Amino acid sequence: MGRLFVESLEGNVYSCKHCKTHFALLEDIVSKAFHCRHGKAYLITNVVNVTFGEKEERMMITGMHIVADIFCVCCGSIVGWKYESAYEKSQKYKEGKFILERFKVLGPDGSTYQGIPEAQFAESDADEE
Amino acid sequence: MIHVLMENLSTDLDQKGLIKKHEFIRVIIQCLYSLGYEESAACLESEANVSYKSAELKLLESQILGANWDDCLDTLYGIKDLTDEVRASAVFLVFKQCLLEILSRGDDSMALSLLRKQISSLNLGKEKVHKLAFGMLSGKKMEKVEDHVICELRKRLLTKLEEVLPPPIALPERRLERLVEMAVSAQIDSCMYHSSIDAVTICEDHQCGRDQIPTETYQILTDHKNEVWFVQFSNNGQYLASSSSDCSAILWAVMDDGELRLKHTLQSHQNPVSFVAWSPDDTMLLTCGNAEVLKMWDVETGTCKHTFGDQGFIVSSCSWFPDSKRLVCGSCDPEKGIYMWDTDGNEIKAWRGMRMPKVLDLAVTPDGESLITIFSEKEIRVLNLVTNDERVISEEHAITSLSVSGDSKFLLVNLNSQEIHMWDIAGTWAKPLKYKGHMQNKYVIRSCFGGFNSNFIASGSEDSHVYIWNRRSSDPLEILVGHSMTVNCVSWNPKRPNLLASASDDQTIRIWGPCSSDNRKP
Repeated sequence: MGRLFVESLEGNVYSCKHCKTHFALLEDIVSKAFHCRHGKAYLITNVVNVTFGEKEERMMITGMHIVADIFCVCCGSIVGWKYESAYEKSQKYKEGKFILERFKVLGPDGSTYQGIPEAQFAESDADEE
Repeated sequence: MIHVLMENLSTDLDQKGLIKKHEFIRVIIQCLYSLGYEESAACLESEANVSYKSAELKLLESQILGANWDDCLDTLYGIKDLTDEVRASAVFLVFKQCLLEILSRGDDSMALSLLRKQISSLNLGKEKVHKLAFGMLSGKKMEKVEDHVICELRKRLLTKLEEVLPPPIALPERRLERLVEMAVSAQIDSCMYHSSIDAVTICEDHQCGRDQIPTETYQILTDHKNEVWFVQFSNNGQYLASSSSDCSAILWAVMDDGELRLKHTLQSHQNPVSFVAWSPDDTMLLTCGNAEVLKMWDVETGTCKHTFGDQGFIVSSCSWFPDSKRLVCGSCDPEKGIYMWDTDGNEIKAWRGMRMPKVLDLAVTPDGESLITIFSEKEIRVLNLVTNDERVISEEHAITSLSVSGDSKFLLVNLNSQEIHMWDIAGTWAKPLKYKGHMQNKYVIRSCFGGFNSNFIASGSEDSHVYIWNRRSSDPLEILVGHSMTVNCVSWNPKRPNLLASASDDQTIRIWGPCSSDNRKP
């Protein structure tokens, strides 16, 4: 219990790199082929233990979207964003889902991901599939 | 056929046309009769030219009192709009009386033929007929019944017929009183602030003002040195216990005028204290924390009586049994499980093992019948301690806290999807009652029942306000502003319905009372 309410997940869990707070399950990953500033990112249906930033418009490679950044509830580090709405019809499938940056989380086996130097990529979410 | 007398009086009483004048007067006449004012009733009947008894009833009356049984039965059969059932009951009643009178005259053979022909054809069910026949044949020769007794019995028959026959032939008894009661009940039901114990006056529409609900800060307690996570009034309403992330708990005494004074500071924990529980007899207090052990304190002296378990025994929540001798506690880490102890420190029972899910919160209902546990965030388990039956309510979102109503009938859970759900402990509801409007995303926020008749629900909120709902409505009734940071917990004084305490991250406890300035005594 305690004041900060932290949910715990069972199974293959992705957790915060800094404080090990649980975020999401492997089975909730829809796609592993997204990209962000630091490299790989996953599209996930459900994420726990995050707080939300302000909704804002952001231009991605795939078009204009409205997104809200998500932060770890315990240590406050930014770990990705949530798609609130997409302007293009072909991008609507992302609405309500989350992006988790692989660089910010530990995999189910506790592994980290080195990421890609910032220079080359603008914030993007191009889906290669 | 019915209202020959009343045709020219069927003007409506009110503008909406809801009430017919002659019916209204008829109901008033009935009321006067039932209050014993027979002269006034008769006077009204003649003055308004409205008869209390319907034409059919008057006819039946004269037929019964005059023992014209055949005519009486004709009348009964002649009334339209009677269901077969009702008609059969009415006819049966008449037959019973008729049979009684025949028997008392000694005319057995006639009685028998009546029984055979008429009554059995009524289709009333064998039992009634058999009973009647048995009564007839069972005995001693029936003595002649006195005349005045027969008269009495006939009057009683008429009363019974009045109960059986439907309106408008006969009015249900106490009709006017019943209509007024319905109106008053409806007003009380729609009174959102309802807080008065006194009977409601019918001289004006009932509406409680918000001056009965705690809405203003009366006192700010600043003795804690860090975030205050929990507050609870004692069962007798005379004390308040609070606990904080400064690793202490404080006991306060409630003075007669509603002011709170510090009584004891309980210091012995090494980690933040997030939960306290009063023993039902208010002599002892349990304290525990999400990373802390369970300690028991004496309320009067403020000394620690016992520490349960060993060093690593983490207890997240605890609850007493009504005998104030046994307690139960739940652990979320590392040895998951539920343990039952007595006040001497002996372990009575334990539910533990690898399969035990995390226990987030638990409570024993004040009547000692059920143990309610919150498991692994989304499950509410209600265990009946008497029958050992278990029931699970699954929520869709994570539950952060649990509280139980004082009458042991309802439970309240705060979900981190910003909703508070109320369920009934007996398990008859398919869906919960929901309350919204407050803010809750990251923290454990607690809510409670309270106020007059436990009609209200109060909760903390992450936007630093205290929220109050009337149980009947899912939108907040009042929002209390004052704290500067998240309000973690609230407690409503069980003996003083307009005294409320709230605990906040701003390190203070606020005491709230009613708003009218000369009502300083909450």
